Amino acid sequence: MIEFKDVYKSFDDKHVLRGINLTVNEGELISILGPSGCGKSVTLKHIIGILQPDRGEVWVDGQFVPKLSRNGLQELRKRVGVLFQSAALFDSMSVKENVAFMLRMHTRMLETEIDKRVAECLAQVELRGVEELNPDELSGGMRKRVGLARAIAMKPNYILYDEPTTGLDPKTAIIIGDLIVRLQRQLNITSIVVTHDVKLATDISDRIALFHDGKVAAIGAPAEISQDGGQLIRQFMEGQL
Amino acid sequence: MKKIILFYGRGGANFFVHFYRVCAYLGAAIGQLRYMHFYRRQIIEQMYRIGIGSLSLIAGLSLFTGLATTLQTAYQIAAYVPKYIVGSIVFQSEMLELGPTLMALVLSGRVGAGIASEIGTMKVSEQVDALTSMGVDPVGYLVMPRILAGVTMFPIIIIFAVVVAVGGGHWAATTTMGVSSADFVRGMKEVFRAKDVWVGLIKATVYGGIITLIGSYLGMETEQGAKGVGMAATATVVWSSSFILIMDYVLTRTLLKFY
Repeated sequence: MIEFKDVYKSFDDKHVLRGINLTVNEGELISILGPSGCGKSVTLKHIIGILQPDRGEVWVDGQFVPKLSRNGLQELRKRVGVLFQSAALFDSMSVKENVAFMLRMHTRMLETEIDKRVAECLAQVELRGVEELNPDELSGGMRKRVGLARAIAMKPNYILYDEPTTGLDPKTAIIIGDLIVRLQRQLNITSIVVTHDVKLATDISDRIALFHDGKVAAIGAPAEISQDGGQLIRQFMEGQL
Repeated sequence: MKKIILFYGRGGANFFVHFYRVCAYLGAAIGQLRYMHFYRRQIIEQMYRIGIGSLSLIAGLSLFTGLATTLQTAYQIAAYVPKYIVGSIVFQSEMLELGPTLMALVLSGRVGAGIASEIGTMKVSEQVDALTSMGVDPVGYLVMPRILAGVTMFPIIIIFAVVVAVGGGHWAATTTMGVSSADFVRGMKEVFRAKDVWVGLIKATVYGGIITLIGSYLGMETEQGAKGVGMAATATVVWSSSFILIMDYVLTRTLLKFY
């Protein structure tokens, strides 16, 4: 379980988070929806300790993240897979090396076992025969899928998706959305999807948290949120937020 | 007047902030040395790229430096001293000054700017964040191997540079200036002291550290996309060159006096 309790975060004089309260339950798929710059990605970075809150508490599986030791953070990060907005594939490595990266750094698996695990992960994101390609030879959708294969390589408990459909055409965005749901069910994990894509959030989520002005403005199942946060969602879609 | 004081005051404060942060990166990189076995692949790769990858460039430039130094020396001393002195001056100036310092200035572009732009690109494309999110310390994975490769490979590069430069000087002296090979070697032997070799190697080690540390620091601090990457690469060459020349004076004064 992940909990944010009254979390504040500022960068210089820009107040990004102004008292976030959010609980992500085990096994659920929650989307954080909101306009650019409202603190969605900043919230994700607090979960794995890349950013520290100025005030408030961030808890993951009962561990207080800001006070975790170096080793504690490293162990936490092994349990959390992250798909970055740009996929953030290492461009000096092949697809196989990217997916195998954490296995090589954190496990004592043999090369044959690593090869097998890489093939499994790529198959789970519906990619085959791309192991030897370099990231610059992949399309946007393929890069996201390789990023996703890398995120699941260590069999994490959580996957954090940072704008998974940004920059993709509508058809590929639907494929990525389906993939997120399928992985959620197959791997029995907890997923947090940060997005400004209302359709994606509505289609795939168990719950949606609508961020506005550095706070959670509304939260609930997609059907509930369209009532509780209906006005806000309309404003968001019309670019008024 | 107030504006001038503010301008220089702010510049001075910025310098100390950067200096403190560079020292913090150095401390963090030294702290990561205990995980050397964990990052051995990266260390070997960087040693190869910084060391072996620089040899062809250094060979060409050192050769011409040796040729020019010999011709210049011969021109300056022709009427006053015996010709074998050419060997003495070429060897000492290459070992103590031109080898380490001139080659370090060249390498601040090839190695330093390369490091800044590579790490800077990784920073702006979230690859550094990706490393952190995967439980890998970016200082251990990116910075420490480069600094370690710099301080270990630069002395080797500089020894290679001095050998090539002196070889070029020998060729120029014997083929175009009527200095016999025996005289050139005699001149070298007369001034050879192990101390000079150590001074050259210590300078090379320090310069290797400066270039790789500054390149890594500015790369890790890169922001603002492609523009930021370009600025980091340029700043690395400017900062490294400045610190190399300042440290050249400090080391020459200190080492020749006390060592």
